Amino acid sequence: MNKINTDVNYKTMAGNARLVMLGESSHSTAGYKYEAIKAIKQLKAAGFTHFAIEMLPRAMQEKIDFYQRTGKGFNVIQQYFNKYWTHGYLTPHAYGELVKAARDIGMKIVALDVLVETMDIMDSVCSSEKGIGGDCFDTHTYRNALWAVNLATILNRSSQNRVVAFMHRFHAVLNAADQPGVDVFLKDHNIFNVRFIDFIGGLSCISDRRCSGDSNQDKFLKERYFYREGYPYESSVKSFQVHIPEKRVNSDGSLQW
Amino acid sequence: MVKIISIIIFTWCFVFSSVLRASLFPSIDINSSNLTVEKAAKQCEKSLMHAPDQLEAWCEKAYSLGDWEALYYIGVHTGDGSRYLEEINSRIANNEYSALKKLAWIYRSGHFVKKDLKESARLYELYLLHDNEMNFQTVSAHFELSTIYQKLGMWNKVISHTDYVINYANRTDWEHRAQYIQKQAKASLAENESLNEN
Repeated sequence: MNKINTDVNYKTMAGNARLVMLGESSHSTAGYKYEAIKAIKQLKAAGFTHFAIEMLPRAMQEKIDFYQRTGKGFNVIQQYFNKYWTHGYLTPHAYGELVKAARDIGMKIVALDVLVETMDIMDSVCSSEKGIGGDCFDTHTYRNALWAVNLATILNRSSQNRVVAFMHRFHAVLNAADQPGVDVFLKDHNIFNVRFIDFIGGLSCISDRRCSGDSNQDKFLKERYFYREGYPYESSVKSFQVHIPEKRVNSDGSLQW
Repeated sequence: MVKIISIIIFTWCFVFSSVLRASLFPSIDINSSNLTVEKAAKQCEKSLMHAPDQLEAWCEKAYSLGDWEALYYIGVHTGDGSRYLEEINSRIANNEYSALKKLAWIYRSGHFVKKDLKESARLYELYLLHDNEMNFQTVSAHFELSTIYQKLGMWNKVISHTDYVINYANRTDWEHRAQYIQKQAKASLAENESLNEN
């Protein structure tokens, strides 16, 4: 494993990439969303123009655009997070804060995914047996292919466009065998200048009292904030890991590291 | 690409007429007598991202119903893939050759073992020796081999495996990628030959 670097610098990690995928290793960890806020602030300053997010569906794009233009209508976005993204204590709120931050710094917010209803239909259309037999993409893989189309469309629209995309790590890169990530599908659209940053560590809570540490690092690293080059599993693009300490995110969103 | 767009339109048409109660992690009774292996396996897979606290319960349930792949998700969640590896090895010992492909991917991805591309390639080749039919899994193994040999710089092998994918894949994304990889391999081979001549 590569050496750790405690000066967590997203501009350095992004290099001259046109697309940076921020992957959270768990949806349940509120701290990853706040780390993403830090990341997009640095990346906006480095010239990134768009912020794409797994957790909002394309069908809401008009409402998102309205919020982007006017600053009004955020409730609709927060309600969506409250309904579907309740994976952990404070996580729906943290997703909302991330979207607000993207608007505040002037990044164009882009919804990446299909509606949750669509996922259910996809599940029923492509059974595991059919998916394994190659007759169709399973829902996970199909969504990845679709997101690659969405991201490539933005990047191909203008050479000035640069995108930060926030999603689960197993959408960004390979999950299981025959479930390729967005990194692989992007190559079908001639998008090669891509980097992947995997968020690890942190503390996931299902209530304000029931929390567990997510770090799988050696004991002396669990409480440290650092990044390093590389990804321990399969990735087809240059990758980094950012480790956040196993510390609680305060209810006002402030961090303790 | 055409296939992808067709599926998008197809699913979109369904969405707006759907009356399903949707959820990223549906509320299903884990003890229901109507629970199928397919449903339990989906819950197991989804819990990795959406309900880690329920992963072990759902994946154990899926495993008990016959979905041995559920052990993979337990391994990813706990960081201990020993049960999955044991299961794979016991299936290989019982001549279940599809398990060879699973093990090949494990060595390729670095999940639960130290990443070892040469060992992964050896296992994929071994799988193909026992694979007497030409199907999606065969093409998939050739595709994996072409990307592994690309990383290892073994260009002749890249060309032969991508040839197979280009000729037999029924997936445009693989065909395009195989063509791209093969083009690179041919260029690298020509460059090596030119260096050798000099």
